[in-house]
Amino acid sequence: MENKDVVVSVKDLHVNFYNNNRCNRVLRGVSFDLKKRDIMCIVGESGCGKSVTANSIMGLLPELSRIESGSIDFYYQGRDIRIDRLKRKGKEMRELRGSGMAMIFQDPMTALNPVFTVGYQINEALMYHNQAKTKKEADQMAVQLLKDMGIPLPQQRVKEYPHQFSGGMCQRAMIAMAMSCRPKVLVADEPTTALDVTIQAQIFELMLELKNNNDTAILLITHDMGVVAELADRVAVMYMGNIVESGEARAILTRPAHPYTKALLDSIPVLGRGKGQKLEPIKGSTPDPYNRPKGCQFAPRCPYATKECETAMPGEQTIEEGHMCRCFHNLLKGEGI
Amino acid sequence: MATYTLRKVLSLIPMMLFISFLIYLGIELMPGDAVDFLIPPDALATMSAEQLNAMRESLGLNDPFLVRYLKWLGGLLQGEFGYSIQSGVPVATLMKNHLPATIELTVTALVFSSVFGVLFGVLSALKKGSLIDQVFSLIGMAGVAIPQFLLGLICINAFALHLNILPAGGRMASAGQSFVERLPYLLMPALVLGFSLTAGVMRYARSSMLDSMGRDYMKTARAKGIPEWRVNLLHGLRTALTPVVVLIGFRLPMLIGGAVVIEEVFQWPGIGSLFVNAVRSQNTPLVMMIGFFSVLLVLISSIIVDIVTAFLDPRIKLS
Repeated sequence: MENKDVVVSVKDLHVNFYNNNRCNRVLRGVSFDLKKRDIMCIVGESGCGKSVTANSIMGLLPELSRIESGSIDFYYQGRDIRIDRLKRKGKEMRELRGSGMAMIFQDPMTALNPVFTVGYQINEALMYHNQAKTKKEADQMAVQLLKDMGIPLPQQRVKEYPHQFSGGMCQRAMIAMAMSCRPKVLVADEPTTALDVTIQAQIFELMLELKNNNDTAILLITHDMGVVAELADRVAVMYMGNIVESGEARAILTRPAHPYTKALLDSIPVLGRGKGQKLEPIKGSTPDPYNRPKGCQFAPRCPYATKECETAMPGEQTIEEGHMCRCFHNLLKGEGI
Repeated sequence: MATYTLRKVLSLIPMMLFISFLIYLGIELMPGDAVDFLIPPDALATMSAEQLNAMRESLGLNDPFLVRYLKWLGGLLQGEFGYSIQSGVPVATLMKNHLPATIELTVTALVFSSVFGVLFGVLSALKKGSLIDQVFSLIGMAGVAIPQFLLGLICINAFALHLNILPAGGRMASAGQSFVERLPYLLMPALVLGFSLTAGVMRYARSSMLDSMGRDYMKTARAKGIPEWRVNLLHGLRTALTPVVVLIGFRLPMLIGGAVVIEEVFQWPGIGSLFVNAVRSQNTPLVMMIGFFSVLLVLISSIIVDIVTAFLDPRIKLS
């Protein structure tokens, strides 16, 4: 272990999906480290592999998919666990899920089972990871968890069903469930996309608080740059199965090196700049995953592309301390970096 | 719940009145009347118009349609089911003699088809695309496609004539015989009927389970780290069960009239053959009574289905 604070280390991860006798190479060499108490954001367009990366860590990839190569190390209770080698539905993986690492999802209204009470669904996590010995103890803990999440009347609320909760409440209940065993890693897959903006802020505040209290590392998947600016310590920008740029949030947001990152930032309206601001949509659309460009995946849409870009995918280059970019023409070159 | 049930039961009354009137009207609209079927054709030729008219008069067939319907209704309200025009036997006695046989047959078939339908359907869903899924699909298709009478005859030929391990038909009177002794008679008709019913439940359970398995909450359950069997059988099956229960619930009316073909093939002395004969000979009191109970069972089943679904799915409110 190079760094004591690293909780999850993903190295050169390749994941393929197999569908109708075709192979979709969804992840094509993803590497990053997730550190204790860090919030790392993965951003990118739909279909670029953000969720797959998250699911790989949780061992929740769909049936017809496989980790082809690379490694995922999870440093937990003094051990180095190779998640990529564990059976997805096996006992070891199951014991990690929910206790060592937990996940919350995009749409809290559908992520809770409609036919069980919220309390019951929280209890399940507590009982299976031996956080509570008896049902009664679990019930009390569930009430306390809901209370910690700022849900009013928790005694009553645990006995209610998800459809009696609002979206924001459901997500709080989901977070309560995820945090019930004090995991080292929380994977949040677009946790606020389905919620009101005002609720969003509350949910993020809650996540921050929990992170600080429990030393949890958070892997936050989003395509909301506002969220990134607000929360992220580190950012990884993904495009077509690769991390094309990663680094400190501030560096990425203020001085993007990869044309794709720049394009993403240029396509977002900025509050307060008025109606006059010019939004630049990214030209074209993401390529068909079964018919990818030969070289750099972004080349066909990139204004800076040259012949070189069509021949090979550029490798990972450290352009400054902690700032990685995969581009032949990184935009900071001009600045002498 | 109690008020809901009470209100539903009360709403049955006007519905039953209306439907019984429709059945009565249906019989009325058929050509001929009971007397035509009461007398053998050769005897009919020798009888005079007065004689026939006197017979009609004595059976009350000369009254206007509405009067006859109201008389029947009045009798029903006093608990008087009337007499079979053909045999003169009280309808109540006929029902009492034939109903147990039919219920015995249909309950066995329903239980069989529900249990195995759900079991195989869930298994198919869990092993989607595997050999076992395809085999079950094939069997299910066969169950739907092969007519009951054909399958019945094939089974009689195989198990009764060639293998000689089961009786070809009939039913042992329930008095004095133990269930085990009577079982061989029940086995073949019940299984043939059950087989054709299984397919529907199976396909339904399979698609419902597949739908449930694709839901987000299944992933949440997995992310919690609970064992796979619990994810599938508790979170998956519990939600998948509701539509299946509705399907099974709406099969309850079969209890009375659902086995006509099978009863004919296996000489099963149930209500099915009684009903067919009664309709054929315009035996109004008998047709009315069997029809009345069938309809009542349909309506009661729908109330039961409502209550059970509200119990299974907390999102559904009885109102």
